[in-house]
Amino acid sequence: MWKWIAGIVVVLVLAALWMTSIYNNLVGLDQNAKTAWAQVENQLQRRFDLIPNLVSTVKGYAKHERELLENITKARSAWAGAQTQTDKINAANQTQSFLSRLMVVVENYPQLKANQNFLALQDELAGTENRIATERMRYNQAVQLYNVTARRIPTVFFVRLFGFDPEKMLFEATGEAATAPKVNF
Amino acid sequence: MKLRFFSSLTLLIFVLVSSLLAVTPNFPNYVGYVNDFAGVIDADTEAKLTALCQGLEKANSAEMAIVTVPTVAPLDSKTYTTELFQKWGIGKKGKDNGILVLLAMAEKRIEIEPGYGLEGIINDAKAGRILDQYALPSFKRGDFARGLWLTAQALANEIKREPNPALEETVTSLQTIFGWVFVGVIIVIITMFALFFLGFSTQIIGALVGGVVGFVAWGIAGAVIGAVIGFMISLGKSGPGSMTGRTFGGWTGGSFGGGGFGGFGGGRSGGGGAGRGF
Repeated sequence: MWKWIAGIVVVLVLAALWMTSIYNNLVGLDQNAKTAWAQVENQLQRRFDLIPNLVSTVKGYAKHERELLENITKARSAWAGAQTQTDKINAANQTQSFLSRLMVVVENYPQLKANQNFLALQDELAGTENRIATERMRYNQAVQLYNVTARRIPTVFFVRLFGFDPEKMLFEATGEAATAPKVNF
Repeated sequence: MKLRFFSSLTLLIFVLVSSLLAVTPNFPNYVGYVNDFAGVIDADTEAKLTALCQGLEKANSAEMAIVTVPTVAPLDSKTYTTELFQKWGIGKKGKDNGILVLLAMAEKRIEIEPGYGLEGIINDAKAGRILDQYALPSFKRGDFARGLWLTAQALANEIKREPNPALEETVTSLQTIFGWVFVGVIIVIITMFALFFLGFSTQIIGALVGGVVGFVAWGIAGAVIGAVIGFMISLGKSGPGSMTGRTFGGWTGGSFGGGGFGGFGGGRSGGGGAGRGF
C-alpha cells in the first residue's frame, strides 16, 4: 500500500518538475519577445516624435509636396489611434514608405538640404530608421524562437493550458516599405 | 540510383552551407581598442588612439573601438557595424556604454554606432556633425589616420563630459547558486522518503544520498574555486572592466601589449548613430 502511494508521489513530483521547466521556458521566451516588441515600439515612437518637426521644416521649402506631408501627418495620427499590434505595424509600414519617398523628393530642394536644422533631422531620421530595422530584426528573432518552441511537442499541449499565445506575430515590412530604398546620406 | 542520391545530397549540403555562409559573414576577432584590419593607420596614430581609448575607459568606463576593414560585403556598412558591435559586446554589461567607429574602405563609408547607454550623449545628429566636421575633410584628402584620430578625439571629449556612473554589483550569480542548492536539497529529501517507503534498506539510501551530495558539493567547490581564480586574475589587470562578465575576451585576441585592455565588457547597441560616404 505505502509502496504504491510513494510511487505515485514520486511520479507526481517528477511530472510537476517537468511541467515547471516547460512553463519557465515559455515564460522566458514570452518575456523576451515582449521586451523586444517594447523596444520596437520605443523606436517607432521616436520616429513619430520626429515627424512634426520634420514636417514644419520641410513645409517652408518644399511647397509642392503638401500632399505627401499631409499623408505623413495622417499616418502619424493613425499610429496614435492604433490599438492592436496589427494596426501599429500597418501605421509604421505606411509611414516608412511615405518618409522614404520624402527623402527622395527633398533632393530637388537644394536650399532645404543646406538648412542646418534639416541636416540634423535627416541624421536623426536615418539613425531612427536603422534602429527600427535593428529592433525589428531582434523582435522577429525572439518571436521565431517563441513560435518554434510553442508549436513543438510537448510544449504545444501546455501553451493554452498555461495561458500563453499559441503563436506570436512577426513584424514584416509589407508592400512599398519592404522595397523602399535604404536611406543613406 | 545510389549515385544520384549522393549527388543530390551533396548538392543539398552545399546549398545549405553556402546559404549559411551568405547569412553570417565571418566577423574578425578584436585585437585591442584599435583594429586596423585595412592597414590605413600608421603606428604613431595607432598608439595615440589606443592611449585615448584607455584614458576614456579609465575616466568614464566607456569603451571605444576603432575598426577599419577592407570591405563589409555582403552586408551594407550599417548592418555590419551593428552586428560587429553585437558580436564584440563593446561597452560594459548593463551600462551599454560602448561606441564603435567603423571605416569600410571598399564601400567608402564611415559609421559611428553608440551603445544604448551612450545614445543620449552621442545622438545621431551629433554623430553626423562630428563626421562632417572631423572625419570627412581628412578622408577626402586620403588621410584616414588623421580623420579617425580627430573623430575619436571629438567623441571621447563628448563622452567624458558625463560623470562616471557606479558599477553595478553582480549579486544575481550568487542568488542563482543558492536557488539551485535549495532545489537540490528538496529533491534529495523527496527521493530519500520515496526510497524509504519503497522499502529500500537504509544503508542503500545512505549510500545514494551520500553519493549525490558528494557529487553536488564537488560541482559547487569547482565553481567556487573557478570564481576565486577568475577574480584574482581580474584583480591583476587594471580597469574597472575586469570585474564584469566577459573578462577573458582579450586572451584570445592576444593584445596585452597595449596594456590594460582586458576585452570588451558585453555592451549592446541598437543601430543608432550616423554614417557618411566619402
